[in-house]
Amino acid sequence: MYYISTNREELELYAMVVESGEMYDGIFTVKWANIIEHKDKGVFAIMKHDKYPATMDEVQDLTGWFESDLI
Amino acid sequence: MTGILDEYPGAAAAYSLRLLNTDYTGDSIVVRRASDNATQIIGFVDGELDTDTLNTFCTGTNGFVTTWYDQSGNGYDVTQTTASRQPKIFDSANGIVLENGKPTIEFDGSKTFTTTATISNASDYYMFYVRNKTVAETGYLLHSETGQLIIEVFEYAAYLDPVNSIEGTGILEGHKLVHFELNSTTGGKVYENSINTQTGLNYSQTAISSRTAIGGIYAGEGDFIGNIQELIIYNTNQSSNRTGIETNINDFYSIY
Repeated sequence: MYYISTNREELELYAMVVESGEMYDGIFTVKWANIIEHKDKGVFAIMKHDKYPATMDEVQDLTGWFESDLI
Repeated sequence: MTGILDEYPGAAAAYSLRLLNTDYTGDSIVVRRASDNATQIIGFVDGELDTDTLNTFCTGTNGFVTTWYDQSGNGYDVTQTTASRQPKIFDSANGIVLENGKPTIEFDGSKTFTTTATISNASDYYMFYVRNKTVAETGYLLHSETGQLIIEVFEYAAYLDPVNSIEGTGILEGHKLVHFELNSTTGGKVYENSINTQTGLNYSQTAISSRTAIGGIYAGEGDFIGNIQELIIYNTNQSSNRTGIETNINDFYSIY
């Protein structure tokens, strides 16, 4: 599951909440997730962490989001 | 006990959950457990993954692989430092992820290992790997940015930058030992469980370098869905060794 938003900063904040809560070691694991941008719709997504629910919209997967889907 | 790389040395890179080379004194993987994000290096016992240590470390939580060590001696370890993209090896309910009774690494479509190392600047490659693709026509088992070489991608066996296009037909899902012979003189061949299933594929490649990923692409999309147990990449001609290498792998994994 992914949270999606047109506001990238909202997703960056979500990542910070997860990383603050999980306290990764900074060696083998440095962050929770990458923010992914839809190839042409101006929408962003981040992987949901089940321990950290948010009020953003959710999608099951990101089919159709990437240029490489066209290969 | 001898390892496959004792008998067939010279791999450019080699990743496995079993010991491939008796001269290799390192470990197999690093595992992060979800409960507290602690990490544990997991090595080998009697040539196989140290499952006792893995069980003790992960019992009751999920375990994810952060590092898969290269056993070739070249040090091309692949890693994943983003938690949500680390492949799973231990399930909180079911224990160690297994394939045919042997540990395996689970890629669910959003996981990859990556490296920015130049694994090889050779043109020809002989790859052997054990995987169970569980969803048909998913992609990328291996991706190297230089030349855009992709092994297993959607409906194709492999893909290159269109100038050097190698396509073939997609390899079906299931637990398989797959061998790619990528020879710029004779073309590309695919063997599945030691049977030659595709031949004469147009192939011209330059290197495995820049940004390389296992289980997806470096940038993070188009990911493989299934399990991977072993991947050995040679950059020297292994045609005469092919059946021996395949026999060694199958003797361990009992695939066919």
